Amino acid sequence: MNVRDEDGQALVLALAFLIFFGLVIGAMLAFAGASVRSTERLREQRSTVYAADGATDAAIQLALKNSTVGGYADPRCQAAVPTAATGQILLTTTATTTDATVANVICTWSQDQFQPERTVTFTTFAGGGSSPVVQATVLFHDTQSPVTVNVLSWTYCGHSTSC
Amino acid sequence: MRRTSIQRDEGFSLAEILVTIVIVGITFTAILGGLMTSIRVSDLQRAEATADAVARSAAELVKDSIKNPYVNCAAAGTYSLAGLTPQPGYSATITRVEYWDDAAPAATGPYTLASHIQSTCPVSGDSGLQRITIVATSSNGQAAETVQIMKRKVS
Repeated sequence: MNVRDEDGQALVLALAFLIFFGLVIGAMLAFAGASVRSTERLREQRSTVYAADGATDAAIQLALKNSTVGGYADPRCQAAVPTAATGQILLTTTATTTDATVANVICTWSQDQFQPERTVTFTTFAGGGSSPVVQATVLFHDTQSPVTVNVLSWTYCGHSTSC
Repeated sequence: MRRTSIQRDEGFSLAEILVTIVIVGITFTAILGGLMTSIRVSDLQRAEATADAVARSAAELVKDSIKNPYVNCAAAGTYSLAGLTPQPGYSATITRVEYWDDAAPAATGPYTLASHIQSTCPVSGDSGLQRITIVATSSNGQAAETVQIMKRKVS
């Protein structure tokens, strides 16, 4: 065996060492990056849910104070429960926190025009998403004074296109 | 034969050793830098995640109509966060309460809620809807999370 065969082996070992630890560092930084992204996603999710919750509550209060909201054929609402963020918007919020989440509430009007009480479904979209975030069906007892509210259902829609 | 054996025992050249030392030195510096960055990012991420959890817990506590019944024209200090047990080094405070002005919606078009939220309680009285701002912070100043909720008076 020629002794010249071992020339430069240290350099090869050093380069191998460099590549190996380079990959290790890359993996560690990628892990840390994924962790940061997951935290960011969690924050977005929180903002979306709170914005949608708040907008829905505001819409309920608006309808409580104004008995025409959600009444039969109310032009501010629509006949069928929406599955996409299109159509007449009843109420919109403006983002005031740094997350800049805006929520839009769409309502459906009561189907029975002779029913003295209103059953209104509020569907809320948030953060520019096309899928509903919250859907609440609310019964307004207009015959009572003052008008009272029964929240019949309050559904978080998850990732589905409908609740 | 003997001469060949001696030649095989030759060590590395000075140039090889120097190059190796330089490369290994650079590599270790990079590794330490990467480790420090990773630790810092991890620490910051943990602080933000914890602050986020504290903010959520505080928001749920304020929204809870049993633990925190709706108070007309409430101020920032009115609602209690006494039931909140955040991790040591974290705290949550209600920084602002704003009020809906009870303006009626138009016959058509969307109702822009932000235009009808005011910093003082309406002269006509509380209209049953408040916007509450909660800030959760870590004592070392690393993380601060703000959450806004709407609190509705249960009728």
